[in-house]
Amino acid sequence: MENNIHKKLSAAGLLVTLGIIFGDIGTSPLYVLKAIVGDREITEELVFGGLSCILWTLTLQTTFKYIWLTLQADNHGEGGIFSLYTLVRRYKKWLYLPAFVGAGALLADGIITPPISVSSAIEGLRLVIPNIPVIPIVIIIITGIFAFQRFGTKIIGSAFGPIMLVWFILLIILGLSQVILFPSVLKAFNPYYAFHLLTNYPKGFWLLGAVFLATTGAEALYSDLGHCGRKNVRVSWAFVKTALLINYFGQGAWLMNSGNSHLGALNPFYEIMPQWFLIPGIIIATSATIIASQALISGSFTLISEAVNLNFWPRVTIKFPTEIRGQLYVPSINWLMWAGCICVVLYFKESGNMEAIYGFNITLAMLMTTLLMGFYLKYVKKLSSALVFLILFVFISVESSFFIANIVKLKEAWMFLSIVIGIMLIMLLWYTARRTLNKMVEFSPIIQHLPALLDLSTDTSISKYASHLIYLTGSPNPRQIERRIIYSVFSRSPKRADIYWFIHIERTGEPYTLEYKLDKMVEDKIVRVDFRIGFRVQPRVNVLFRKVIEQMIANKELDITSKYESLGKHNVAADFRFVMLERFLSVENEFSLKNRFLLNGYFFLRNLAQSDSRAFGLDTSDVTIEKIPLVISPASAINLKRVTSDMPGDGNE
Amino acid sequence: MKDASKIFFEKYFKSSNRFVVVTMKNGIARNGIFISFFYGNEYSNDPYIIKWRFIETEHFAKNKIVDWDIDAGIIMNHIEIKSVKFKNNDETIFE
Repeated sequence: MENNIHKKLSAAGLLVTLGIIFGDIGTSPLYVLKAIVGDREITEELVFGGLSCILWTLTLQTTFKYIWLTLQADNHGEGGIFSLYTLVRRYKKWLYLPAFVGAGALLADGIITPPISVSSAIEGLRLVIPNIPVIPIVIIIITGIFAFQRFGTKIIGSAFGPIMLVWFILLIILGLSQVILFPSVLKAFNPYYAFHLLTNYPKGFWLLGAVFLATTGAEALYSDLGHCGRKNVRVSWAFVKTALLINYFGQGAWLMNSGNSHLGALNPFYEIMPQWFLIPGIIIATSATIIASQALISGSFTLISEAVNLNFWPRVTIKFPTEIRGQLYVPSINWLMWAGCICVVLYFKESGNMEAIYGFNITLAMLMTTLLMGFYLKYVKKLSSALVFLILFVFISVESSFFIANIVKLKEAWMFLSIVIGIMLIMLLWYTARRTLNKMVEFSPIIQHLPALLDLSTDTSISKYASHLIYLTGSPNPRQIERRIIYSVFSRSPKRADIYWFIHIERTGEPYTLEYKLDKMVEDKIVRVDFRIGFRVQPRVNVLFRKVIEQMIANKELDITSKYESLGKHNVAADFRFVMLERFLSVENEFSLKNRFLLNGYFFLRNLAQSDSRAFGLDTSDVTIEKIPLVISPASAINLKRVTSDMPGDGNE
Repeated sequence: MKDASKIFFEKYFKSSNRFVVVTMKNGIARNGIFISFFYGNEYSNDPYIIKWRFIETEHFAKNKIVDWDIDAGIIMNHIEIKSVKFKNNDETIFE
């Protein structure tokens, strides 16, 4: 319900959108123009050219690509690179690769954005207290942000929108106060200045690396689409873009008007702020950067959760701090990101130094989104190949230019490139190993086991293992079952039960599907439950299965009163027991070098990851874990020969 | 063109009498039944079924090996199978 309100175009929805979506891109004025000017001489060519580049980047890249084009590619209202991937994955088998690169780049970005945003804001305090220790304050704020994640943003989240509204109004007022003093700065609307800067200014092309910082929040904007809805994002963007441009132009006007030949240590954002307003201004700026960081951290949790559900990432603990749909907390990712952020702060110390590494990852993510968008436009939207080619040509040209301009940052950003590569390799290993393992799952027709299963259920010479015995099956076909389950039922201490349940979970390409189908294979003896669960829903089997049981009882399809005489007499409910089968690499196997590497890597990661029973929410249920060897390529035949004993007294003398 | 392993798979498990003679491409022939199978990967160029588990009749009769033993029988790669012929009517369902 709450979600629907946010998705309709409304004043409340617009306010929420300001708080969730535009934090990242909205705090860019804190450092973009400072990064463009750097230690260069302040000239009209540089300032107007820089402003013109910002304006046309926000227009072409943010407005046209993301706000107009990419927001159309929603998956039942949800955005982000994995949502886009699920829309197009059926058209080409290799599309998981750009999705992995994009996701890795976005996660790495989540490590840089909080330090650079918060540092930029706090560094403004030096104008009031010159010797203030910025690094400890930044570390305290960042630690506070990450420590607070476990509680969710239900309470303080409602303040995000109003704070960002105040922030954008502040940007407008500060910008206007300077533009009216130097109105000729508006000439920078002319794209000629941008073109001139990039082509004629010494090393002008490389300034794109700094210009790009103005649009870094665009990718996050798409990821958070589901929280706000397309209409709210589009309408509020008109306001946000206006506020951003007025502020950038105000900073430009101040640069032209200040009489300084060089910027030095000054930050034009704080220079256009009246001295008396510095403290409240810094407080508002810091609040805005905290909100920007929060959006990126939440986005990273969502990304990892989607990756887990799409089988791209090892299972990790995912918590739900509030009842708000889609709000997650992933402790492992939270503290890894915190450690990464603290390292960035300690290593780079100043936001100016961090600018040198910021942007590279996002250009990668944007290029990957563009690639996937091409498939979306061609196959889902059915646009003509020529038009898709034209759109791709425009955006790949623009983004490649930004990418090349950002490559110079690699000298400093190698650490982050290695994070991107590391994340991508984990996804690749996990995904490829699972595909390999899936080929090692053996199925057999369930019908050939039914007679034995029914006999076992009624064989009182075997003590009852459970009244209701539940297995999770990976077989998408209800007429087939994994042999390892059959092996577990019959050969691993025969498991007699009144009713055998086989639960199958299908992850759908839609975000919030939640439905099930019942198949009573043998009435009151063998039941299969097929759940269809969206990739943003956690597969809490205990909760879902309980719901199925409740509905069956309500429909008088099932009686769960204990069949034990003494317990049944007192209407005690029957017992339910889950059996989880864990595969392990058997010494019996002879794998190829590639498969051995893949599977060893997979099982190593799996040991670090969350157990299956916890991942399926069964940690509070009665669960038996059985380890089943993965025997697929048995070792070569062993020539074992029996010999007679020649020991005295054994009758062989 | 429909995958030959899929045609075989669909036909085999619909049959009531599954005792067959399997001839491998290396010339070895075996009598017995297929009890289970491994799917190929839809994202690679694998056949629909890549491997089969096969229990030989002789083994079945002598050792009374139950077909749900985890390592019962032998595993055959689909691509190594030359032909499969039903014992009861000599129909060859895969060649």
